Formats: sequence, C-alpha cells, structure tokens
Amino acid sequence: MTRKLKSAFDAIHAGSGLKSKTLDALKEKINNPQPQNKKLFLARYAFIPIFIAVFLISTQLYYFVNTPDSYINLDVNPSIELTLNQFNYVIGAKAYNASGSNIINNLPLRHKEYSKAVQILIDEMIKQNILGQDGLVSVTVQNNNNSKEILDTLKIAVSASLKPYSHVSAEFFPVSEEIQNTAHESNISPARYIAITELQEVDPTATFESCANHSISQIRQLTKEHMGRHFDSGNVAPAPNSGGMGHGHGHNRMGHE
Amino acid sequence: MKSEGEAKIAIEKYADTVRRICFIHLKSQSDVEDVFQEVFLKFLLYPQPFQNEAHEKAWLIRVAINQCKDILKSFFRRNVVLTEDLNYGANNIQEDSRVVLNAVLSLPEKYRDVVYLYYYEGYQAKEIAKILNRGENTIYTWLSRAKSKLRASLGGELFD
Repeated sequence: MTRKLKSAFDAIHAGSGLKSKTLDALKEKINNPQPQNKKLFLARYAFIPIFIAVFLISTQLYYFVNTPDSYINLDVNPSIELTLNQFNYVIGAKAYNASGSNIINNLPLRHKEYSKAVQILIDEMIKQNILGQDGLVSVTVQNNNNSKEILDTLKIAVSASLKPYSHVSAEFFPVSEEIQNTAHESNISPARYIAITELQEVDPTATFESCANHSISQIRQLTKEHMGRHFDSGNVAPAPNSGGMGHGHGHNRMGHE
Repeated sequence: MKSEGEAKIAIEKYADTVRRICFIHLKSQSDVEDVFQEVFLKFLLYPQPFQNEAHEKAWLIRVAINQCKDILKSFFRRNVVLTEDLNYGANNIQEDSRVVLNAVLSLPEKYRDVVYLYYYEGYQAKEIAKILNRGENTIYTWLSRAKSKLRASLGGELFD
C-alpha cells in the first residue's frame, strides 16, 4: 500500500512553469515591496477612519436621543413628569409623589411619542379612577423653542382621551426654564408650584408640604375660597390662573362639555 | 526577509511537496498558483531561522495545508462551482497510480492529509498531530478510518 501510494504521489510534480511563475511573483515582491505594503497598510488601517466615523455618528446620535430637550408635566395628584428628547420621544418618566409612582410603574412610556405617552397616562388615571368629580388635569410644557406646538398637540390628544368624561377639565400652559428648575428644587411639578404660589399670595400660611396631598383642583379651590375672603375683607388679590405672578405663564383652560 | 536566492532554493526543494498538498485539496490551476505564491511569500517573510531542514519542511507543509483550507473557505470558492479540469497536475499518470490517487481524493479532506503525510512523507502520528494541530489519538483514528475506506474503494489487490 505504502509503495503504491508513494508511486502515485511521485507522479505529481510542480511544473517548471508554476515554479518560474512563483519565483517571478516573489521577485516582484522582493524588488518592489511598496505597493503590497501600501495595500496591506490600507487594508489594515482602512477601518480606522470608518470606525471613527461610526463612533462619532453613534455618539452624536446617542447624545441627541438621550439628551433631555423638553419636559411635560401632568398634575392631577398624581404628579408626573415626562422628559422628551429632541425628536419628541419620551426618554424618562418621573413621579413626584407616591400616587404618581403607582401610575407610571409598569407603564410602557419610554420611547413613545409624547402625545401617545400622555394619552397612556390619562387612560391609566381613568382606569384607576383618579379623575374624580370636577377633576382638573394640569399640563405644563417646558421647551425653549416649540412649547406651543407641543401644547397644541397635547390639547388634541388629551381632549380625545377625556372626551367621554365631561366632568374632567384640562388646562395647558407653557412654563419657563426658571419655573421648571425652581419646581424641581422643591421636588414638585411646575403646575403644582404655580398653583401653590398662587395660593400663597392669598394665604401666606400655605406651604408646599401642606399642599402635598391636595389635587390641583383642590389647591385652586382653596385659592378661590381665600380670594373670596380677601374680597369680603376689602383686599385685592390676583385672580387664579391669571398668570399675574411674574412667572410669565399663561393658562389655557379647556372644559369637556 | 529572505533573499531571492533563498526563495529560489526553497522553491526547487519544496515545490513538489507543496504541489502534492495542493493536489489533494484543490482542483483549479489558479488556486494552486495562488497557494504557491502565498506559501513561498510567507516563507520569504518568515523572520525566524529554522532549526533544521525537517523543521523548515514541516513548517512549509503546515502553511500549505492552511493556505489550501483558507482558499476553500473563501466566499467565492463556497459559492462558485469550478468547471476546470479536476485532474489538473495529474496528467500522464499510469492507470494504477490514477486509480490510487482517485481513491485518496475520494476520502474526506482531513483523511487525505494524514494519508499523504503518513504514507508518502513518512511522518509518525505524533509528528502529524503537531503539523495538523490535532491530538495524536485523533490522527490514529483518522489513519485507521482512511485505511478502511481505501481498502473498500481499492479492493484487495490494489490495496495490498
């Protein structure tokens, strides 16, 4: 067997043409190594600019996708804040109180378009029977460029969700970055911050803590009651929702008939 | 980098060995030429000195086998059916030898290497294991299976 295999393989030879072709190719490599080296260099390092470009694009995209650009606050009591990116998609949801946490827990809000996310929240509030008699949903938007556009879209979305609930009304207003930041420092929503500061103007004993468990409509109701007393005693106080507190906000209240 | 003279000597000395390895793996002339150029280019660029001639030969055999496998693994090779002469390089061979070579070529690829290295080059299983980077027992198993298959395809007379 070994002999037969040896004799069979012995019959296979490298032809002289193959040898000379190989030698010529090697001579070319020896005498003119640069093109090959250049090719190898390009092949080896071509991925570097591609890698850098992909890295930069990914970083930019990651930045744009994950950088907060706008804030939408919904306050009924629960008090909830949605953070939006530049593309108006939800990148974060925060609850300012326990009832807010109960709402947002397990709700698929992230990466939803904001009007859809707000509808999901309102639907959940309806499901949990939070929007009681004469309920008021306060919606604030903080965005340096297109608050109005977001508010207009939200009005349509919220009114669609609240259409069957005529006893519930909604108010919409833009807030400045300053109010947003001040409200954040007090760990309350901008709508609540504005409502409480309005109450404090007619009732200086009111504090953020004392109003923590009140709904927005209850705080407004308290403001109205105190204003009535002021009027009775001859004092003049700003009307609720007038935006006359120097914060630059204007309310836009919408009933659902 | 080795000199042109060293490359010429290596080609003269090992061209047939590399050609036989190509024969048991490849079917096209252009693939054989590619493998030849790559193997001897690697030899040319190999920076370390070989311990002895046996080391040099074993190194070239290993590189040649790997190069053949790389070519067979390439996308083009896997997706294109070649219509070239399947017996390229094995013309003018006596009928007996042709039958034996065809029997070797009909073996699975891994068996072909061990048959060639064991029966033709005279390597021991331990050395083949080192060249192919496999366990010694694996080589024994492959040799035994290859032998059975050759016996089955060649019949008693040619196999003896």
